[in-house]
Amino acid sequence: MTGHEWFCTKEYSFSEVPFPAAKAGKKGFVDRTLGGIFSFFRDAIISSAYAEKKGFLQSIDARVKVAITAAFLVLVTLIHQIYLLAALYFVVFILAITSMISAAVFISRVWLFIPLFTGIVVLPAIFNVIVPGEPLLVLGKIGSTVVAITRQGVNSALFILLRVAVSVSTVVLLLLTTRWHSILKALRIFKVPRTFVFITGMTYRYIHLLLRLVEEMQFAVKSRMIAKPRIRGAQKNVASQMGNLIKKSMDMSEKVYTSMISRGYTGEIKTLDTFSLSFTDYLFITSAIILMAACVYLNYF
Amino acid sequence: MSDKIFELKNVSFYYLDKFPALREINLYVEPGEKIVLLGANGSGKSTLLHILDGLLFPQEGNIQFFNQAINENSFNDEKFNAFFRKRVAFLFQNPDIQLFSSTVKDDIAFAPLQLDMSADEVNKRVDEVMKFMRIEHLKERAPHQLSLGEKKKVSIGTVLSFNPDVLLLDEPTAGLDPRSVREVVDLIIEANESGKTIITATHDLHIVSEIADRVYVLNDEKRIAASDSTKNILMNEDLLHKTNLIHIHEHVHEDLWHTHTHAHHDLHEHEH
Repeated sequence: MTGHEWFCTKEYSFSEVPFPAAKAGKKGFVDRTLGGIFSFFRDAIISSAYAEKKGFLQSIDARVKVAITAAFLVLVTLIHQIYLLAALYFVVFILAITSMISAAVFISRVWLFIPLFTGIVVLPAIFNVIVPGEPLLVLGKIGSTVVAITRQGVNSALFILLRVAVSVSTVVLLLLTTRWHSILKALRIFKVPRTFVFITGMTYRYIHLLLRLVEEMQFAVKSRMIAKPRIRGAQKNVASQMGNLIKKSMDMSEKVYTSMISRGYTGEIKTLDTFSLSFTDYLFITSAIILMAACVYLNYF
Repeated sequence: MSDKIFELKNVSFYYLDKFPALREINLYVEPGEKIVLLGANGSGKSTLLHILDGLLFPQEGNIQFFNQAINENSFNDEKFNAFFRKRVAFLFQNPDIQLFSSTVKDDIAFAPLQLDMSADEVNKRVDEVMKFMRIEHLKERAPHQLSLGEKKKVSIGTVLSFNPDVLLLDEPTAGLDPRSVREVVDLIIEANESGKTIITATHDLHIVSEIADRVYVLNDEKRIAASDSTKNILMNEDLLHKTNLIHIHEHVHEDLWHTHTHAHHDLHEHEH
């Protein structure tokens, strides 16, 4: 008697496998939620694949890009001419293409969301009930009021839509062509404290680690789950995993701190902030300034 | 009186003041030595390395650094702290703890920067370390994108970059493939030949004979079970057996079952 004879006995046979019908079952709530979170972060990592390509904007120093993006956003809010905004969108689009971002990716990233959010907000403005003006298309009558789409309404809706599109496209372009940590470091030119930048960088780094941990914990649960759990059981599982995760991350943060101390950290972070501009950077800065000045001139004079 | 880098006298350490992690440890380290702390999982090797690096402080016993007693207060002194940190490096077992920066380059640059090297020097040092460790291609990568082997190599890079005199290595070969293990062992030998003191915690008997002149064996009771020359320790099968470092092994050769102790180290041989 060794006390574990059961271990040496074969209990199950594979003779009749109950293969399911071709139609697969539905994913549970926890699976779907976690799956969504994981795929969002994977996407964030895949996006850094664009930042690693050897395109035009990738070769520009992150600090230059951040500063010019900020100036560009201010410019976009100052412009009141639709044709200028359209021209700026064209410039941004060309920059995306020269930075090896496919047109389809660039357009879909921006235009899938704009109709959804801004579009709904500006939609009422095209009707004469909200913005009175010269009718373009008469839709009918409600009581004694004629309802029509107006030229002025369409103009102002288009204008807002375009302004949002140019702004969002610019920011998307910055995020796609620049690595996360470079953007963070670039914040130093706006005098964001070094410690804040460093801690944000660490947060980003450990989010990945904790996500992987959650994913693996979830896999471990799944691989041992024999019966489909009832909602109560699933809730309990998730709650205990959350608790575990907090404990693990607390433990890890303590250890990371000791590893910083061991390498000479004494409370004040020192980082490498090398800021050297190449010829391309200067060329980019000059062209950007000329372009923005031209827009201001055409808009106001 | 010889200049010992570390001397521990009757050191005991308890986690949360009640769970013993080390009991009555007596140990010394002389400059230029290579020492292995050998022990099964949970025997207190890691804790001992944390104590040697001035990260944990024992509740009992005392620690001397070059014949001077040191304690937690010693590290509150900026000058002493900088002096100590520049000379003593600790490679953590888990590379995810060692690598906390956003890129490989930033991680390798971290210690030299904190220890006040100039930016130019740091950049040069980072490039040299990466070339030496053959990880140049990882420079701008984020640590979370690396494989375990790559992470381990980068971790080693982060402690070599400030050229410390004393290296405390916690399971430097755990989880590595055979070729990477070889590289790490060669690196330890090379560092030691250039005059550095190396203290390695491991349970991998394969590598002990190459990376140690002397061995301290820790047992389940978290005490030092033996300390002797590497050869004497590795020949002492009874000791290795008692400390769970080798096991009785039963296997078959040409239809003949037989049993013998199985050490998995270089001195292992048997005849039939």
